[in-house]
Amino acid sequence: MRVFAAILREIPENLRPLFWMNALSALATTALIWLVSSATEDAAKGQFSSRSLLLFLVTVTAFGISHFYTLGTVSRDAERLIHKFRIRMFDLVRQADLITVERIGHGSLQRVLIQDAQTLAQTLPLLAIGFQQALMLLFLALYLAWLSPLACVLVFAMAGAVVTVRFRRVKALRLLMQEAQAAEEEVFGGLTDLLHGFKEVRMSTPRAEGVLETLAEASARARRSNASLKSQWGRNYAVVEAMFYCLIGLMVFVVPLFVTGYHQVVVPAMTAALFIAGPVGTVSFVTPMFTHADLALSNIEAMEARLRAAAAGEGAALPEAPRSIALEAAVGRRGGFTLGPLELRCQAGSITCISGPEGAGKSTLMALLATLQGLESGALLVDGKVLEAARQQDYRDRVALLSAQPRLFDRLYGLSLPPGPELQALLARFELSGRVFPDGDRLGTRGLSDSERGRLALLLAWIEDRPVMLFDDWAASQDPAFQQYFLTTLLPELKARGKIIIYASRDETAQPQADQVLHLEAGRLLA
Amino acid sequence: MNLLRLLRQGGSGSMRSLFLGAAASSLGTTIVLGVVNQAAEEIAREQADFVDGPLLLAFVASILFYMWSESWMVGRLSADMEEAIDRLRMRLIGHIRHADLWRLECFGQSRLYETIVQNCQAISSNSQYLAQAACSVVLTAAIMIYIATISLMAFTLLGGFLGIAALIYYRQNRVLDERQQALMQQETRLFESISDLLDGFKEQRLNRQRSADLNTGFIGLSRTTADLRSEVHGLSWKQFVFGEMAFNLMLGIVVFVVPRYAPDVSGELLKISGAVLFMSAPIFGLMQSLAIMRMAEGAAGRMMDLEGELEALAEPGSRTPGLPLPSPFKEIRMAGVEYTFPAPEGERGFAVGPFDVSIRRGEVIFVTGGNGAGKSTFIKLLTGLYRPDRGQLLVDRMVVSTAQLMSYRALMAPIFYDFHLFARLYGISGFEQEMADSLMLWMEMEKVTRVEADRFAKIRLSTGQRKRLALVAAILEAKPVLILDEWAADQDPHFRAKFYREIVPELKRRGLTIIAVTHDDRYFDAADRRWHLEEGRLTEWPQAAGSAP
Repeated sequence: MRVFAAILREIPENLRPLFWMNALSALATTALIWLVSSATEDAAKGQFSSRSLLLFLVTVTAFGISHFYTLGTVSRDAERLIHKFRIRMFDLVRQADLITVERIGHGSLQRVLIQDAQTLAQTLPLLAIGFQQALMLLFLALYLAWLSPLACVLVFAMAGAVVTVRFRRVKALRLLMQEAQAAEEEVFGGLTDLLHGFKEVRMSTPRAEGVLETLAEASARARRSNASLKSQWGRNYAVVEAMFYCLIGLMVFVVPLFVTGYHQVVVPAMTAALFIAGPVGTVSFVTPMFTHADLALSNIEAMEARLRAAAAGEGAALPEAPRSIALEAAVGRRGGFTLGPLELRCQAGSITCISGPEGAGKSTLMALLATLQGLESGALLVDGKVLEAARQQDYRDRVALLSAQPRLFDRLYGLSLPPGPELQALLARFELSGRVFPDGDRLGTRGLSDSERGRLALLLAWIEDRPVMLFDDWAASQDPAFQQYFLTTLLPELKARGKIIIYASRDETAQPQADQVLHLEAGRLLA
Repeated sequence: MNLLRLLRQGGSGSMRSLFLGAAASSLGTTIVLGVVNQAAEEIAREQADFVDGPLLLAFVASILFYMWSESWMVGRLSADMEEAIDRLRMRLIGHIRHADLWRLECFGQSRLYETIVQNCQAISSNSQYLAQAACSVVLTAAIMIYIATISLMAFTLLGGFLGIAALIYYRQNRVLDERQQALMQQETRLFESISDLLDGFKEQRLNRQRSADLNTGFIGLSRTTADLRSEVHGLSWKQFVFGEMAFNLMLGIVVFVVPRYAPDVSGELLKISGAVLFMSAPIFGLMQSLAIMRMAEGAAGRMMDLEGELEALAEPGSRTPGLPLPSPFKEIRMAGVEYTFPAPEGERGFAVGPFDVSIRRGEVIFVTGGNGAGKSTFIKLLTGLYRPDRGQLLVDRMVVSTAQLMSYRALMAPIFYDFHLFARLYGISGFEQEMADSLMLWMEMEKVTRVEADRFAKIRLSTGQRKRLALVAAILEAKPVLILDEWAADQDPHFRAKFYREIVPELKRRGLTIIAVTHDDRYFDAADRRWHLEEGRLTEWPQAAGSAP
């Protein structure tokens, strides 16, 4: 069992006390039943034993303390486990290469980091409860067997039947559940359509009616399948409860037929039988959760292994800022697309312009140049030397990549801004005055448009002043006036500052004055 | 109780059936309890090892009665609840449909989506616990009454104890709720941090410092979340264990305290302790279903509040039956149309207009302008999606009234800058498959996807390709006016040329009026007229062809 292995590996500290405390709480419950039934009999004889009362109070207290300790500790430990997994995984993702992250997909990563972690955190305490109740059942069985072996056998046979029926019915319910879920998803898909296409819906009455009609149908379908799911659930619930009542009925209607002298033990046997229903229900509810927890854990571990395999050892630094970068017989692959083999040489203080239509491989080329993605074959040369894996991160820290849809962080993460007036002048140059407000190590913004975000990303790169600057269709979101300003003024300024500039764009009409012009077509570079 | 309020909307009589069902199933359980107790007592008292036939019969009958009434009740309640959810959901969607664009934009589409989706699910997936809770309450009461018939003293003692315990239990909820809220906010922050890493993966990979800071931040967030979750769990376990202890103490009261104050019931103690043990199911069930229902309860409240908020978003006149416009039109005019975006206190909002322009049927007009010049706002005003602060829209010199707005919009097929492509061709009918196929060929999309009956076979395509599909749909709509907001921006040079040199002239030839926002100064000669926007003001560019602004 993966869950046990993980617990032993990651959070072994409290296992021993947890086991004993759990056993104590199970024992206390069993003792309680014995005390209650013996006190009932005492009272029937008109006796009162202060020793029993004292024992009762001690048992209740012991139960409360041990149970609370167990649950609290398991919850805390589970959270500790999740915390460990979570930060380890985050760290691994952080250091993975782009292609691995893309291949795995944001959805799967998020599912593992959020949902699977949550499942684990929620199920572990329930498993502890299940364990405690299972122990309790064991003690109860012993107690009942001591009273009447036949009663014990009958009760547990009946309990087994209840659990079997319950599992069968839950399985049948799963189909209905999937149906209901599919119906709900249809409603939400329609709602997405309505909200995203709100303007379009507003423009045409027939369209609005069509969208609404589809939604109403989906909603009615969801209603029907949810209602039938629930009423099936209700029938299941009623059947299982009724079987528990039968279990109690066994003690007074069946057992007496076979056991002589049963009248002496009927009171404690009834009490024990009444007590059994709860734990049996809990144990049968909790057992499938092992599978859930196991599944969540195997997802987490598989993801961890996958990311670990992709992580590279890094740490060494480049001797100096790169003066030239080059690709030699470089081949990159993304999905079914192959880029190269291609040759490229770029010098400090020069602009390389690469044009090419959508899908020609510009973004893949940029990812190769930024070492966000590894080469399939060939080499990336920095200052004439092959870039070793250990130096990749240091190289990367000297590259700025600007794309049409940049992700901006609301914190500056280590970037120090120039003093106020200088910054204001820069903001004005980048047409961002009144749109961006520096605030400590954060940049306040007010609902920026795509083009404003693009300019802000450029402004930050401008301040960061890295020696290699890659533009991946960056100007596409800018209006012609700013595009012109960028191409004729800003880029030459960057060139004068001695940067290695590579400018890729599909727009052949707006290109900078370049030292080197290349065309990329279907993964091949043409001069 | 919001859930009950919601349930009442599901249909008349649902409250009555909830109560009747709960009463019937509790009655069944109580009879089971009584019968079993009676049988056990007989065995113990008579010291006889036999079975009482009539009692066995009563036992079987009461179990069957319980099963029937419990299933009936849950089924009935679920049907009513789902009906109520369905109605509420469709009402909310109806409100959205009639909403005013600007108000909806302010409200936030993602907030709207999340509210409806999450709350519907929260209510629907937990609605059966409402039935459970009702049953539990009635059953506890029924068992207490059964105890009262045996011993009033025991009833008083147990009832008093139960009341106090319930009060304490309920009080613990408040702290728990408050911490739960804090936890939810903390988790949102944690999830945002994960999205930051994934969406900004490239950016963090290119900056060691940023990456390290991101990591440190995440470790801190993760630790705080873990601590907070442990605290919330601790609180709820405290409540849970308190419930268990209270239940155990109730047993203690029966066997140790009751005999002291009511010595005459000593012989009946077995019945009372049996009854208390029977109560364990409804009491623990209630504790469980209350915890689950807290979420559903909050969700029901939010949904019903949302309805009020959505009603306030409605566009005036949207629900009234529309009035027709002169057809076919000769001219669309904007007269003195002005619009100012609401701004925070003390700042002046961005203002556009006044626009005084006229569009004659069959014209091709290009609209140009820099970033933030107000092009998209102009389009939203022209299509009547934003209501102008001042000024009017006119068709053939007739002012478009709110009742005519839908007929006015029906003249136009727009493809917005942030357009949405529907997989189904909603509201477009009566076109020939051949026509659709030839349009797909024209847009060079025939190898990528196709029109199948009334839907596109595939729409998960690049933006440029989806815009071509949107144009296919717009042409199939056969509206006299086509409005395009930077349609060609995502096309490659080849198709861009085709668009300006072939598609636009052909559509004009077919009699369509075209208004296109564009940056492509190379092709400005494709238009009959050109309007230029700058800081919200529109000027007609006198020359039809060529020169840049």
